[in-house]
Amino acid sequence: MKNIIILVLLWCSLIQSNVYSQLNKVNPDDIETAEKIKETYPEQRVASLLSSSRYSFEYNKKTEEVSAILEEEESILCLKELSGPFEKRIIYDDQTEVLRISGSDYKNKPISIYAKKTTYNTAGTFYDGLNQVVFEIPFSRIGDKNTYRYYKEFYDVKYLPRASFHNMYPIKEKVIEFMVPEWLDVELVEINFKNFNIKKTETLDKKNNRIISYKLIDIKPVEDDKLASAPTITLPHIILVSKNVNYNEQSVKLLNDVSDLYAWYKSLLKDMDNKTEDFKGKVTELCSSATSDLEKIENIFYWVQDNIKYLAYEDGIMGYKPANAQDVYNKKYGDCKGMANLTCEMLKLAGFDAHLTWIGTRNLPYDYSIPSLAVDNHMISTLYHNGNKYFLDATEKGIPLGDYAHRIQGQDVLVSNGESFTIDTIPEFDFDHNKLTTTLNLELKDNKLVGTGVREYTGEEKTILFNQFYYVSKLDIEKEMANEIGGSNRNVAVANIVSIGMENRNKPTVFTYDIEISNQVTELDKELYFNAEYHKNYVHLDANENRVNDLDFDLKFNRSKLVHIKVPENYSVNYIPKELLIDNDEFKFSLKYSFDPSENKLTYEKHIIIKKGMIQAQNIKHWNEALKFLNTFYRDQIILIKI
Amino acid sequence: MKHRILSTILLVIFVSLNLIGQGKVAEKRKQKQMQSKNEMIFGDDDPDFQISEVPEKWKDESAVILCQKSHYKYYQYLGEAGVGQVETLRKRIKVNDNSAIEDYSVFFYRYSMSKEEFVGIKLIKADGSEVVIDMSEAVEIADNEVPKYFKQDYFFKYKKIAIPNLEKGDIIDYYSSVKSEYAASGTFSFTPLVFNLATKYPILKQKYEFDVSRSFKVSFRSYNGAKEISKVDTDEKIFGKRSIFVFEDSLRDKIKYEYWKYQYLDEPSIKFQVNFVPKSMLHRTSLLVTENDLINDKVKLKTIQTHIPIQTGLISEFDKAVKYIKKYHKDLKSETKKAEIAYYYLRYLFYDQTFNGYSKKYKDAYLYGEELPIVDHIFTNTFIKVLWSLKIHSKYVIAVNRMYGNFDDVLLRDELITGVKVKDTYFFSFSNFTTHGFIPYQLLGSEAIEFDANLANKYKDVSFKKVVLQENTPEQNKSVYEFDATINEEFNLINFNRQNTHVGYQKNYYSSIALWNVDYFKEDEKQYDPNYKGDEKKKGNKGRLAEEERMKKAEEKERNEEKYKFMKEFYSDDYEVKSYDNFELISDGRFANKAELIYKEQYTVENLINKAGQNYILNLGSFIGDQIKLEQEDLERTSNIYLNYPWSTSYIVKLKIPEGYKMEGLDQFNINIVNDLLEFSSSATIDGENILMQVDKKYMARTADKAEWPKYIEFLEEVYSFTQKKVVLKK
Repeated sequence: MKNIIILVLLWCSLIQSNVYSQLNKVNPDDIETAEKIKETYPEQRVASLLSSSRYSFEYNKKTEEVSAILEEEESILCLKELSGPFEKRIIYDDQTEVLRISGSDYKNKPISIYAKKTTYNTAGTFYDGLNQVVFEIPFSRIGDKNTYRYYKEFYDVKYLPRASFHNMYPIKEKVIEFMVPEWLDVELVEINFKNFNIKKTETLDKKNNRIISYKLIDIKPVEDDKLASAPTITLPHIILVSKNVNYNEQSVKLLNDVSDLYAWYKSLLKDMDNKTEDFKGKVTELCSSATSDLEKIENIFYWVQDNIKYLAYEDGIMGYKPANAQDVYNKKYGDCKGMANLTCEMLKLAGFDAHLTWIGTRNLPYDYSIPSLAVDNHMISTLYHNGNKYFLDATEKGIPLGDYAHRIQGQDVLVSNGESFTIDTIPEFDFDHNKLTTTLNLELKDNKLVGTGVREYTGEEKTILFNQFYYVSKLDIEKEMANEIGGSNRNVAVANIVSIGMENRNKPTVFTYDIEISNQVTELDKELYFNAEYHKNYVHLDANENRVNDLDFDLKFNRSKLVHIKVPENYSVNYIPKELLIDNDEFKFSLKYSFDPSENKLTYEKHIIIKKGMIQAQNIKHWNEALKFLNTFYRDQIILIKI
Repeated sequence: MKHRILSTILLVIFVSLNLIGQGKVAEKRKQKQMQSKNEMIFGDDDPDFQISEVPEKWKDESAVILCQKSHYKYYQYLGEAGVGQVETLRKRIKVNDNSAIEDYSVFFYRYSMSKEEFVGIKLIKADGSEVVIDMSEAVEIADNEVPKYFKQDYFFKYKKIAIPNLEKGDIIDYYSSVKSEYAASGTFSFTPLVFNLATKYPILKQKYEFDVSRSFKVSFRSYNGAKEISKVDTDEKIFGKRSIFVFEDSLRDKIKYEYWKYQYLDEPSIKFQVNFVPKSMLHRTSLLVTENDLINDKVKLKTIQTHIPIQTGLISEFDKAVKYIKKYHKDLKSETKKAEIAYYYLRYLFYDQTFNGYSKKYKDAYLYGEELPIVDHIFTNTFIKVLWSLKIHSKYVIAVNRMYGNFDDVLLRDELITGVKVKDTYFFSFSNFTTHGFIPYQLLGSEAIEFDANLANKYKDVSFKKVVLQENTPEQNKSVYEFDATINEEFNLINFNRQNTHVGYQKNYYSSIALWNVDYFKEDEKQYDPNYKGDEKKKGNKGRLAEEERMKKAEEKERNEEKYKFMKEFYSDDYEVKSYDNFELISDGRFANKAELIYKEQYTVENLINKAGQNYILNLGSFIGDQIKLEQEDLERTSNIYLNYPWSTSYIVKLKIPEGYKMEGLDQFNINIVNDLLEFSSSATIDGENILMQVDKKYMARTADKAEWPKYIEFLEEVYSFTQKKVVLKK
C-alpha cells in the first residue's frame, strides 16, 4: 500500500514537472528573437533563423549521368502564441526522391515527424504526375524553435531546379552551398543579384571539391500580394548549368551551350510519331475556302485556337516532349507543346514552312546564353512565309495572326530546323497596342445621367474580352456584356447593346449601347452635384510598400474615357474638379474636366496608361501616392447652379 | 545466416513481383468487368436514350439533359444477414455551347477496384457515330484539387478524365453504378432520396426506378405537381419477390433561383425511402413505417406519435442536472423555473463535454464562434428524464419543420423536430447561443402534436393534441444599431462608434460573429461548475505564474488582432472599412437575465464623402450598409415568398456636423412606406451640432403569396435607393 502511495505521489509530481516544462521548454533567447522579428513582420506566423541548402553531386559511370543531392536544413521559429503547427511540403516526381526526413528541437533532441505522401497537382495543369511529402513541425507558442532536415535526390542534374533564397516567411540567414567535385564542370548563373547583398565565397576542401557558398541575411518574406510578379523576375536565384564531366578517363558532354540544349530537345522530337492522315481532310477543308496563303494560315491557326482545349498533361518526360499531332487533333485537347505540334503539322500539310519553337515566357528573365531546361516553359510554332516571320501561339484563344500575348513579347525563342536551330526574338508592342476606349454622350434627365456609349477594345484588351465571353452561355451573353460595360456598378443600367467584331480577330471589338447612370447626381434647391466617373477603378490597387515582388498587370495598356455631358439650359457651371496629371516611366494618370460654353458642354477625359505592364517594387510608394490623388480626383464633384 | 538473408531477399522479391502481378491481373479483370457493364448499360434499348433532338424552346440552352435515369435496387443478402443497395445513374446530355463544354469536358468520379463500382462514358457525335471513352486514360486526382463537396470520405480515391473530341452539338451518355452492402440485424434505414425535378439544365425525360425486395418498407410521395409513381410486382428466382416502382417526368424547365424560396414547398419534387423493418420490429422502430408501404399516403399522426419518441440517445451524466437542482434549488416552487434551470444546466453539461472533451475540432468551433446545436431528440429524451426525476410533469412535442410543409406532407423522420412543453412553455433543443424560450425558426407557425410524456416512451394509448406553434412578431427578432459618427478633419474618413443590440433569431445569427474568438463559456462554468476557480489568484512558483500571465496576455492580444481582422472582413460588404479599432462585448445574450446580445465597436470607413469645391457630399444613406439590389430577372416571381422569420432593424444615427459647415438635403431622408407585409421609414433632423436620423425596416410576414411580390419590389427598391442618398456639407 505504501508503495502505491509513493508511486501515486511520484506520478503526480511527474505530471506537475511536465506541465512546468511545457511552459519552459522554450529558450528565453528565442522568445526575445521572435518578439524582435515580430516587430517587423507582425502578420507572420513563423520565421526561419537559418536555412541552408547544400548541393553535392555523384557520377554514374554506367549511365554517364550526374545526379545531385540536396541537403536541406532549416530552423523555424514560431512567432505567435496561438500558432498551430508549421506545415512543410516537398514536391517530387519520378526524377526525384525525398529521403531521410528528420527533426530536432531547440536543444537538438530529435522530435518525431510523421510524413505523409500524397499526389499533388500544380494549379493550371491537368496532370503532372507530381507527388508531395507533407509533414508538420509542432508549435505551441511564441519562441518555439524546431529544425527539420531532409535529402532530395535528383537522378539527373539536368532537372535540377533554380536555387532561391526567399520563402513565404522571413529568413534571418540563408546559405546556398554547392560542393562541386573536381570531375564536374559547372557554371553557376546568378540572376537578380544586383539589388541584394549576397556574399559569395569559394574554397577548396581536402578532396579538392570546390565549395561555392552564397549567403544572404535578413530576407523579407514573399507574401501573397495582389498582382504579384513571378519570383523569378525580381528575386535572386541561381541556375546551375552542368557542362562537362571528366571522370577518370571518361569525358561526357552535358549542356555546354544552347546546341547541347537543342540536341536534347531534338532527341525528344525524334520519338514523336506524327501521322497527318487523320487531319488531312480538315486541312483541305480549311484551305479550300481561303483566297490567299495568309487566309489559309489564319484558318488553320484559328481552328486550332478554337477547337483544341488547353489541357496540360505534363507527366514525366511529357513535360518536355510534344504529344503526337494526330492525338491532339483526335482528342481535341492538348498542352502548349501538343497544340504547337498540331499547328505545325497542319501548316506543313498545307504547304507552309512551320517549325516547333521553344520559349520561356516573360516570367523567365533568361536567354539562350544559359543552356538549361530552366530557360523554357512554353512551346509555340514559328512560320516563315514570303520573307515574313510569324510566331503562332495556339493556346492564346482569340489572338490574330501577327499579334502576340504580353507574356511572350520580347522573349527569345529557339526555333527548330532539323539538325540546326535559330534563336530569334518575339516582337514587343507598346501600351497603345492594347487600347480600351469608352466614349459617352450624356445628358442630365431626372437626376440621372442618360445617353449613349461606344466602347472599343483592341490588341490584348480584345483578346481578354474574347476569352471572357468564350465560355458564357448564349442566354447570359447580354447580361455579361452589360456587366462588362457597367463595370458591375449596380447603378449603371445598360441596354440595346450591339456588339461588333467580337468574332473577327482582325478588327477591334466595339459595343454600342444606351446607358443610364442612377444615383450619381445629388440635387439641392438650386444646385446639382455629380461627376462622370462611375468606375472608380484602380484605387484599390494600392500595394504593400514592403513587398519584394513587382506589381504585375500581365499587360501594358492604355485605357481611356471621353465623356461629353450636356449642361441643362437653366444651369451654369459653378465648379469643375482640377486636372490630375501624373506621368512617369511606368504609368500615366491623366484626368481632366473642361467646359465649352459655346456648346454648353462638359467634357471629361481620362487616360490610365500602364506603360511597361508592371510597377517595380521599389516604386510602389509612388504608385500608392498616385492612387491617393486618383481617389481624390474621383471623389471631386462638378457643381451646376440654377440660373 | 547468409542463406537466411538471401532467402529473405528472394522472398521479398517474390512477394513484390507477386503483388505487381496481382495488381495487373486485378486491373485486367476490372477492365473486363467494365466492358461488360458498358455493354449492358449502353446496350439498353430504352427509346428515351435514343433521342438526340432538343425541343425548339430549349435551343439556346447551354446543355439539355435528353434523358436521365436513376435506378436503385434494394435487396437482402446471405440468408438475410444484411441488406444492400445498387445505385445506377445514367444521363444523356446534349452539349450546345462552350459553357457546357467547359462543364462537361472533365469528369470527376469516385474510383475503386471493387467489382461493384463502375463508371462509363460514351460520346455521340453529331453525325451519329459513337465512341466509348477509354477510362484507363483517367488519372488520380491530387489531394489538393479534390473539391470539398465532392469528397465523401477520406477512404475513397477519386479520378478525373478529360473527354476527348468533345465538340458543340455532341451528346455525352454516361453512367455510374455503386453497390453498397450493410450488415443489418433488427432494422435498417437506407438514406432517403429527395429529388427536385428541376435542375441547372432543362430535362427532356427523367425516370426513377426503385426495384425493392418486398420484405422492405417503401415510402414515396410526390409534391407540387410531380406525377404519381407506378408499381409492378414481380417474382424473381434469384432475388425473390420484388416490387418495381417507376416515376417519370418530361419536359422539365431548368430551375430558377429566387430570393426567399423554400424549394420543397413550391418546386415539383419526389421523396423515396426504403427501410428494412421485420414485422416483429414494426412497433419498436422510430422510422415512420406501417404494415403497408406508404405510397402517396399521409402518415397518420398516431404513427408519428408512437414511432418518433423511440429515437434513442441521451446526454451523458445528465443526472448531474437533477442533483444540481435538488442541491441548489430545492426550495424553488415553480416547475417552469426549475425546467429553465435544467435547460441551462444541461446546456452547460453538454458543451462542457463538447468543448472541453478530447475533440480538437469542437475546440476550434468554440473559438471561431460556430453554433453547434444539439440533436433534437437527444435533448428531448434527456430533458424529459431530468424533469421526470424532478417530478415535473411535461409534454412530448413533435412539430413539422415547415420547410417541408405540414403534417399532411410529412414522409420522413428527419422532417420532424421534437421538444418538450412544461406548463405553457416550450423547450426545444438548445445551441451554445440559445436561451430557454428558443424555438427553432423552422417551427414558427408549424403544426405540432403534444402529449403527456412518460419514461417508458410508450404512447400507443396516450392521447395527443394537435396544435399550431406560435408565430413571431418582427419586434421579437430585432437588430438595433446606434451610431455615434464623426467626420475626420481631412473629410475622407468617418469614425463610427456603434452599439449593436440583437434579439430573437437575429441574435442567433449575429452571435456567430460577436462571439468569434470570445471566451463566453466561462460564464456557464462559473455558474454550474462547483470546481470553478475563475480569476482567483493562483498559488505556486512565482516565475511560472508570471510566465503564465505573460502568455495569457499575449494570447489575448493575438485573439483581439484576429477578431478585429475578422470584423473588418465581415463589414467589407457594407462599407470600405479603413480600420477596425475596437470591440467590446456588453452582453453575450446567452442567459435569461441578459437575453440581448449587445456589443460596441469602433471602426473607420472611407469613400463615403465626395468633395465639390469647398463643399462635401456625404453618402448618409449608406450608413445602413449594403442592401439588396434587384436585377431585371428578379422582377418576375414564380414561387411564393418564405422568410425564415419576421424581423426588423433600426438604425439610430447621431452624426456630428463638422464645425463651420451646414448640412443640406436632409429632406429626402424623411420616408414612410408601409403595407401589410413590409415597412420602411426614415426620419432625419438637425439637433444643434448633430444630425439625428432613425431608419426602420420591418419584414412583418414570415410568408407571402407570390402575387404580393410587387410590394417587395417597391420596398426593396426604396431601401436600395435610400442607401444611395446623399447630403451636402456646405461651408
